[in-house]
Amino acid sequence: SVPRLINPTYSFLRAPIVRTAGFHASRACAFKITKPVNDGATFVKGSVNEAVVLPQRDKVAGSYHWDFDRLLSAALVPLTVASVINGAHPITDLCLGVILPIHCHIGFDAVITDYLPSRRTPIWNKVTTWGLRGATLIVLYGCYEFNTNDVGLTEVVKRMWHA
Amino acid sequence: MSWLTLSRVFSLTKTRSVKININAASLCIARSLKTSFSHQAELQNTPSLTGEPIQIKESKFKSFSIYRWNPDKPTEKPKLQQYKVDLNACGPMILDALIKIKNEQDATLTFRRSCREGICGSCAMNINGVNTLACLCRIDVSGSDTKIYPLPHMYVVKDLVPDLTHFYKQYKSIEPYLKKKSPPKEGDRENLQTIADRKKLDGLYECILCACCSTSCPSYWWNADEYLGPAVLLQAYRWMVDSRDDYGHERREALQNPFSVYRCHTIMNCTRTCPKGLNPGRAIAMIKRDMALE
Repeated sequence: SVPRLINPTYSFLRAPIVRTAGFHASRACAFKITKPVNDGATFVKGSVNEAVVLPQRDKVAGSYHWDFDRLLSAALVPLTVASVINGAHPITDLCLGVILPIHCHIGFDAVITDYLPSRRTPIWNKVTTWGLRGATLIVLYGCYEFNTNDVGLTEVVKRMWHA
Repeated sequence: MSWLTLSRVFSLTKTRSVKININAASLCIARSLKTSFSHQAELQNTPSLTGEPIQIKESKFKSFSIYRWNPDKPTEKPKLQQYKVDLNACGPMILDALIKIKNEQDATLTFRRSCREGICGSCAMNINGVNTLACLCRIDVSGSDTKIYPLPHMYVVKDLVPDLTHFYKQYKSIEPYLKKKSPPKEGDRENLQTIADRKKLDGLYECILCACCSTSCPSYWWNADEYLGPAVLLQAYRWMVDSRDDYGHERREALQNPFSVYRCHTIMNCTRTCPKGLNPGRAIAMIKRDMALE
């Protein structure tokens, strides 16, 4: 019988491909290709002739996310310059107290997506993502408190800067 | 002379169908056994045509440490095997040294090669930490050991041969062919393109898909299953920017997800290592720009 190696396009519905034992069966790398696809290390899904299936189209997670990240980074430049020149001011402190935590959140989120992706480490991904969200909320609240009831972000940097 | 008489005797005693040309056979055998030692001996024996003394080069040995792993014995751990090659009897490129080792010292050394001129992309490997083509990488004659590894973070089929299946599947997923929404105008048998539009493809079409850039990218090491990698993205951009292609918007739409393009953090290892001098990093930046402006 024909070995079920070449699965047609509906391969995602089928069970993992099991080769009838040929002379390839002894090779470790051939085993890796025929292993079921959920261990994170094996990622050749389907036969060699099928293209990789690109992930679901999501513009928010795609270009909008990237645009927003660059927008915040670009906004931080004049903001920092203004707060350095002007000193403490409620508006620049407010903007910094909102934009900085969100900017840091996006940066850390990229680290989590790179090194703890959900397809490979689903639990750690969930734990760190929610931990990051909690931490960002706390920092946002903290910045608000600090700006309102204390000296403010720009002033505290000015006081600690002994360079 | 004795060989000639022997061949004549052979043809008389044996049937017509078995006619062994012993002269040619002995030449072939002698040529294949020409090591650097026998070559030097031959130089000593052949008379000089110009009357000047033939300069016999001393042997200049260089050691190569080459990654070895045999899938027929998969439990044996991969190891570095050292070979010494006489550079004075070897071509200037790493591929020449590899072929010389395979011919004279160790026939089991396995590597891909084809054109020996840097256009096919078969001999891509990691030489002294840099991903490049072995046929274009000059041997460092300074004498220190050269380390040759397969392309990093790739499954190894044998010795220096990586498994590029996933790489090719990713290339197929970007649909690297011309797609038009309507046939050419009546009378136009070709898809015409201005000289300025053709210039936009310079630096993009020359990619030989050797995979040096993708396998030098840390983002591709950690996320190869979802991130397409600089080689594939360079080709995606090549088709987006081709004025004859009508599906530019759709090509960009297909990449709208956090992984296919946006795992690039402009590390720029790709541009640094490209053996053809192309700039995948810039192409990816152009894709990001075009996706942002849409």
